[in-house]
Amino acid sequence: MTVTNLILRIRDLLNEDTAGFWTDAELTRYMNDAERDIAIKALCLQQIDSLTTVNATQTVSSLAYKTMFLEYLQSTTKGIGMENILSSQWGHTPGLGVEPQIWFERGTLLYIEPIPNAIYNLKTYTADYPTSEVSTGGNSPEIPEAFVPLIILYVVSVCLMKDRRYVAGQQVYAMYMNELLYNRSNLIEIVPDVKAATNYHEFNKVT
Amino acid sequence: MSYPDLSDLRQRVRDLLNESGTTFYSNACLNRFINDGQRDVAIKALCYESAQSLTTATNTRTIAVTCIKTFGVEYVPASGTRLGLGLITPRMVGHMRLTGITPQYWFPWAGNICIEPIPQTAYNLVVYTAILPTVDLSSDTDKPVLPNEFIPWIVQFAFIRGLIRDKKYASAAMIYKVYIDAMKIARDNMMKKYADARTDFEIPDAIEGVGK
Repeated sequence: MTVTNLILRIRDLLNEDTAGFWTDAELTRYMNDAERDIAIKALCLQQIDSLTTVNATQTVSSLAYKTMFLEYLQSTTKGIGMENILSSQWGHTPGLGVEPQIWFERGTLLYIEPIPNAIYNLKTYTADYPTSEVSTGGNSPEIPEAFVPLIILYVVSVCLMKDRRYVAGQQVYAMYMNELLYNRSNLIEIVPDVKAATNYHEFNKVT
Repeated sequence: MSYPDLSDLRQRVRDLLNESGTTFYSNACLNRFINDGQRDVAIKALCYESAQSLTTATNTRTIAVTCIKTFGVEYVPASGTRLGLGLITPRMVGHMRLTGITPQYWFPWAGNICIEPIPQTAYNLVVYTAILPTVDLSSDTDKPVLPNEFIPWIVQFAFIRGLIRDKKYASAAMIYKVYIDAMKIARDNMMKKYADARTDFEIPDAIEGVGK
């Protein structure tokens, strides 16, 4: 869905089919704020990045705003999920060997334990901000397609604030938040299979 | 007009809005609401399903898949029985007990499915997904692609949008709650998959009559 499509839909809901009280430039600003807000709240703008450790350096820089998981790539065919810990647990994990095994995130740095004694390859599974803003009519937001319609509700709620319809703005914002949380739990969160999900019981066989 | 084509859906939206004229709500505007409704129902109910055949690449964990959600992945060997893969999280890779080197587990990330162990060659997979409608309804005789049991919710969605346009925000919020609650029931009834448990095949040990 492009900026033009989104503006058309926002104006449908505002009942302002041509720009007047709300300009297109203003709606586009709100749209970019909406995309960032959705990316932050839903953690839906996922990426997989490749990083490498530096010999004798505990930290690795990550530009993503939230690292969700870290994988140590032991070889081209084997990766190992690293354990995320609290900084207070640092140093209380004996017997780690020499390869990267545990980590935590602080600011833009990922702290690796044990301190890397060589260059190791890592993969980060991250949630990030949009890299650029939408501006012209043909641009499309970067967030996944299923989250794009939320932009409409966010922008309408902000527009209603400008029109001093605060209660109405709050009602539309509540819809937006409900949608966002529903989508996040429906589409983003990973709930691993339990053991029973991959077991088949012998008793089911037809005799 | 034959249910459930676009003109019929639009008529139902107009009925609910009590607006037969096309001045305040043009047909083009209602068509947009209806098309957005179809997408919204597909997103919330995950009811537009598709099975996609994909192939892994050598030494690459990820395979791009176009969908809004992946439900399951099957490994299709050159011969023999297909194998359903277990869903894990990224932190679990390298910690699972593996049998051989063929695909055994998966997780979704960033528009990909990621396979464990990392494939060492090309393997064929079938991926079960929920997708979005790709084409908007435009002609009056066009019909939604969603299963029939989900089509009434498209009308509800368009009705809510119409109320917002009419500045009836509280009414829209009230109908929206009805829409969401009903959608959850429809989704649970129609779309959720369950495996039978052992107890489903058991006869109760004793059935006691009332009053004994």
